[in-house]
Amino acid sequence: MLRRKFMLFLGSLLIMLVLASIVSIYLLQGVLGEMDHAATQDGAILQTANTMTDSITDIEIELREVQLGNARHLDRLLDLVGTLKDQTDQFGREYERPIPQARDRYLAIVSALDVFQHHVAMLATVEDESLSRAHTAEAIGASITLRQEILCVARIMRQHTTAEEHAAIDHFRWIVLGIAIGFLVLINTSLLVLYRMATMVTAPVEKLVEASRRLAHEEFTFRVHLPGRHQDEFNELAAAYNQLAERLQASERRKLETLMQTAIMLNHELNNASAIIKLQIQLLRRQSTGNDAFERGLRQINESLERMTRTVESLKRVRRIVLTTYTAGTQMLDLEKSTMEFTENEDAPDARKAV
Amino acid sequence: MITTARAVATGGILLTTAILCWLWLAPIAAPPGPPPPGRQKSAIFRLGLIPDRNLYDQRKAYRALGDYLETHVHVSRGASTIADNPPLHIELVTSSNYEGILRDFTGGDVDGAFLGSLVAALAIDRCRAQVLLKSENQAGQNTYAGVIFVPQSSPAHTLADLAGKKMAAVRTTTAGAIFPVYAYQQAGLQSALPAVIWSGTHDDAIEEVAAGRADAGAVKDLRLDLYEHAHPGVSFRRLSTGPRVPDGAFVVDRRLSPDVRDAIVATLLHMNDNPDAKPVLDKMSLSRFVPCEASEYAPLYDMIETLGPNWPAAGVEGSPPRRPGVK
Repeated sequence: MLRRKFMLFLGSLLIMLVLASIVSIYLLQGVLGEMDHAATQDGAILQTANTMTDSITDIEIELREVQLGNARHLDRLLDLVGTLKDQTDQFGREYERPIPQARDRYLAIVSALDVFQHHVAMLATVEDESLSRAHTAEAIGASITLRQEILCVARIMRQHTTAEEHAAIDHFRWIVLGIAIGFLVLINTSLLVLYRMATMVTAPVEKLVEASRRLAHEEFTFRVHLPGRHQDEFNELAAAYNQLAERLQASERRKLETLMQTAIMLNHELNNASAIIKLQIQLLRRQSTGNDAFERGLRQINESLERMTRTVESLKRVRRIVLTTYTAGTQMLDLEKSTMEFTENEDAPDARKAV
Repeated sequence: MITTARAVATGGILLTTAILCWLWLAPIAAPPGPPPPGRQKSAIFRLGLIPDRNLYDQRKAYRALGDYLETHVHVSRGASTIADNPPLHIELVTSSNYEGILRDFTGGDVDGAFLGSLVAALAIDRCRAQVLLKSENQAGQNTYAGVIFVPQSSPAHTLADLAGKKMAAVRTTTAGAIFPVYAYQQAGLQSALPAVIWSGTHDDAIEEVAAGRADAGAVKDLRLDLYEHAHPGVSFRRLSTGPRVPDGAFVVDRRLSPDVRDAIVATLLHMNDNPDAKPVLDKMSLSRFVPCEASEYAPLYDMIETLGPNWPAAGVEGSPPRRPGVK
């Protein structure tokens, strides 16, 4: 039973600790994920913006190579434009939706990209110089707009990620505070539980020790009563103690009864003899007028007789059996202690008090 | 009891450690490994493209065609030296102009291409290329004609009205280079031939006219039809239309492995029977591919022969293409 209680308490504590740890790690991972996301997003925004401007530059270089006749095929140019378009789409997918204020800028990028790629295609194939100049001017304008808008969106997104970082840090502070408070509460609860567990052991042990101490003082009327409806190991121990004390008390009572009967019998017999002796002493005292030595002898006989009568009388007042050493290996009744009332620390012989 | 408690405590510690380890390591996912390298060597077919419309849309459409061919063409070994049933890989090679594709054929940079009529004729003549198929659009047309057009608002109503004007056209094309010279020659107006602005594609030439940077244009009628269909607010007046010649001919290098050539041709010819090919054909604005013979270019050769010594006015480098079979 006691083991079950301990298992219940310790198991509850363990489960609470595990749950607290899981919740703490979950919350910390969440906030660390937010911080990591903000940091990653910040780097990714810069990288994407740089990659997009690099792609624009690559397109311009490749277009120049085509115009100079150094590149006969347009596949690389088309791939570069396709890559820039993919990067723009990805830019929009990743950042435009969570950052609404960047939407207008992003739409400007998309618009400028359409213009840019249109004129790039024209320039890649056109042979007329006047047309080439016209498309070059428009392509350059679109390229500048693209770069400006990309940088602008990147700036807006960096502001957004910075705000996200600050929010994540605030969140992190609150979580750390919450975890600290939670664990303080948990530690206090654990201390209370452990104190309760210790009390469950020490309280009955103290009572049993007290009972044993009283038993050592031959106080057989003392009983141990432990609180609680459920029977545990300590209750069993207390019951065993109480049974032992009961038996010892019964044995002591039987001894006292026998002693009392013996005392009554002796009192009866000695009183008869004592009365005759006292009568004869009185007769002898009348006959021995003027003889001091004789008088003194009679007085001593009378005193001894009275002492013997008191001794026998005191046997009737024996409350308990206290032995003392008479000779080596022989013990006799300590009449004085056996007739003494219990001290103030001891219970009355017939009263059954319990702890 | 002590033993049991110790066991429970040990179990609890182990369980807690395991849960904490799992929680700590859970978000880390192993990156997917690279796919195992293929052991079979691919048969590579380099498909040449010439810009005749929006470059990006054209490339997307032909990339879709390439992807379709890669999954549907089954090349048998036959007399070739490539492995048994090799996977086919289609590479797109986009030339910057119509003359570039001729250099690609000559230099062996492409194995085949979809070409307009003049470039196809030049490839047949100069590069000994072989014409196999032509494209049929969703209106059932597989030939096109050169057309000289002006904006509906233009004061020009005849070819003569374009004297001293600027005309947008595409170099080395039947519609842009041969037909205007032919039309003016037939009308006896050689001296009235407008100054030509060489655009890169037929769509670009149409846009130059629409934008007002050119007074007239000379392009494929099919591209003009599509442009007008896509831009309902824009309307053109057609001043002259030439004879019809095969459109979007599939021309291959004669050095190409017959296994690869036949497998590709068979797949292209049956695309219209395969529901999987419908989106691809839609992207190309085509309904199907049909067989094509070199003799179908007779109207082109007629125009070229009509030009005679006036051939340099067409602005095409080199000598005019000869009819097949003529030495």
